[in-house]
Amino acid sequence: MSGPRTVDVAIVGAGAAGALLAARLAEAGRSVTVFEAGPRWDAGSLVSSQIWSRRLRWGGPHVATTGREPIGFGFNAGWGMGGAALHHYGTWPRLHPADFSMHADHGRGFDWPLGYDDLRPFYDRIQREVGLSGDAAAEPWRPAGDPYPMPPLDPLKQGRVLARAFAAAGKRTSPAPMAINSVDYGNRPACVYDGWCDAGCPIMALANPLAIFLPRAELAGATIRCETPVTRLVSSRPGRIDGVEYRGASGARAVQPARLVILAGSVVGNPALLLNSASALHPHGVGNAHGLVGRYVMTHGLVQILGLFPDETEPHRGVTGAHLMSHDSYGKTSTAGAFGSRQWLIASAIKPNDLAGLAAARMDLNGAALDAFLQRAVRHGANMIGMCEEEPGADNRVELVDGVNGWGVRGARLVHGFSDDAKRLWAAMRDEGLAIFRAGGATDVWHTPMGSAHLAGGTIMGRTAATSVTDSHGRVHDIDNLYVAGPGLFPTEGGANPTFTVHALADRAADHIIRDRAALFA
Amino acid sequence: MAITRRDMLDRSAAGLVLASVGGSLSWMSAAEAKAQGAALRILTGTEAAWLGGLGEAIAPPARDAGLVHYLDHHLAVPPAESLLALRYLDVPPPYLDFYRPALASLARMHGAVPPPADDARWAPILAGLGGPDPAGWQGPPSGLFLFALRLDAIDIAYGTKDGFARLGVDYLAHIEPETDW
Repeated sequence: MSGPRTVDVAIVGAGAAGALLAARLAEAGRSVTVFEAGPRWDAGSLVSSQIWSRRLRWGGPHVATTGREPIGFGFNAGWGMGGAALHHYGTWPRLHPADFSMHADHGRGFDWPLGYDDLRPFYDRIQREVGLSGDAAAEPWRPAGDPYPMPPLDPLKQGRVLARAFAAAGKRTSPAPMAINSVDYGNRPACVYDGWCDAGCPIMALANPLAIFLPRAELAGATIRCETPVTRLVSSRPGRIDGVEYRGASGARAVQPARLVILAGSVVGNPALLLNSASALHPHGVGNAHGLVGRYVMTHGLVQILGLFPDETEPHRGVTGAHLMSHDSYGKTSTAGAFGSRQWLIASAIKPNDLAGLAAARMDLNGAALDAFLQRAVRHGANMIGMCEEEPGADNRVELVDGVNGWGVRGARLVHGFSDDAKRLWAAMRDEGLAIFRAGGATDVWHTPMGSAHLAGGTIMGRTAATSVTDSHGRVHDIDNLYVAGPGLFPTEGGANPTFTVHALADRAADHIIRDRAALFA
Repeated sequence: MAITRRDMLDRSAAGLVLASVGGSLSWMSAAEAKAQGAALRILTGTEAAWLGGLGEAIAPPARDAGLVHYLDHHLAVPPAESLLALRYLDVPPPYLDFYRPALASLARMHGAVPPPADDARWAPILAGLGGPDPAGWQGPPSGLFLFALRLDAIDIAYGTKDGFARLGVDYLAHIEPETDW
């Protein structure tokens, strides 16, 4: 009796990194199977509604979030084909060169095992392939790179009002680099500024995984198995992974043998899987001989500044990410009394409801007062997001909890607290944002409490096994055929959105596997 | 009527709730369920009264837009299919275990029948929920309960096509929900 066919590549997770790797490796002739825990979505599933968009958020076994300042996992994570990138906003700034050398430059955090120049060719290639809109010449802070292949998005009324506010405060703005078509590009249409990016873009103007890499992967022969969570890595000899154990629709478990395994799940999912794969060969979990799996989880400290302006702003129109940005204070030491990079994402499309909506932060308004406020805010409201870097800290971590979850394995807990430095950076950002809005003539200004956006770390890359989980390509130290992909690799997170860098790193790993690791498939 | 999981997904995605009118289960909008006096599947009468009262005190159109039936439906479905704002807040399911003790605390502290709409008692009730847990409170932190319910009420009052219309702004859907909540 023969067992299941061995595939060249098993990929865990059909989000941004998994989709790109599946496409690249399948197009290179490898047999690829992608295991996705959540459901299959297609364009027709992406109903324009903030309420409906919650279906795209984590729907698997509960992840406990604890610590001094818990990170919002349910809001940040994804569920189903496309992962978090299905509801991401398409804001794609590059990391800056200094983001790769924090320890060398400042004696803090870590250095990446690669520099900006190593990643630049992949940023440039992905940008051509996916299509980015923006204006490189208008970004004085932009690292070296090819110009954007599309002109910038229209700033619309809200963007124009806030650009004037920044100018009045003596701050610079530029069009935001967006993975959203400003003109027809790559057989995908231009954005129509309806402001539903958060619910998934069914017209595919926004480059989510359903728009580009997942269809290409399937066209090249990759198999995507949805509602099939991977529960354990199977290993019978040192330095090798035999395949993945998964849970089928009936709840029964089976093993898929694979020559190469790539973990492309979330910042919580990847370390939880490594830790849940403990065995006699890996008593502390796979890749965890030095106790680093799950450590150094990071998020961006987030503040949303909102206000009412005399001019009409139509804030419900536009794109959810940003029309403009500012990296004027991106330098690690550019904020007095604090440390870290930070950026403004300016003039996001905003709806009346939802966690980031016009009304959420106005807990002081109820009844007729709330109604009157919303009547005005949907015409004259404006907002921007401040995003602050957090240094890696070992105590910010993913760990397993006692007892088994609905998948029959130990559940995960995410423990997080901001450092005092991170809180000072956030406070400086808040104060600066309030001042900018007031300089622009806002008549009523408010802000959200300190929140979080994005997840990074937990399976950080580095030069040695004693200080990191993987090498610069994402290969788990001391295991020949196991790779990790996604923002979990980031040793530091910078102050910019992670998705472009996730793509660039995955593209670099794909090149390496195709070019240097052919022996794996012999 | 036989309800399949696929049916549940498709209908819920379209903004419909499963409600019982005259002993017969059917899919309808939450506002229709409210207007027709559809029987509740999960919530008790006291719980429904408090949810409706709180929702209306926070966001006036929420009760008539069907907040109670919307919550009743999305507390009944599996967590991965629920559309409640609670899903963002990392609260462990079942979500009924979040709402039920909080509503019981309100009924215990203020009586089984909540104040009518526009009653002056609502202001101190909401203010009390927004601070530290009131004396005698049992359940999730009262501030978190208020925050979650506030998001629900604003969703139903202002986050739907009808809600946008009330505010006089275009909904601009790429793919429209088939009906309002």
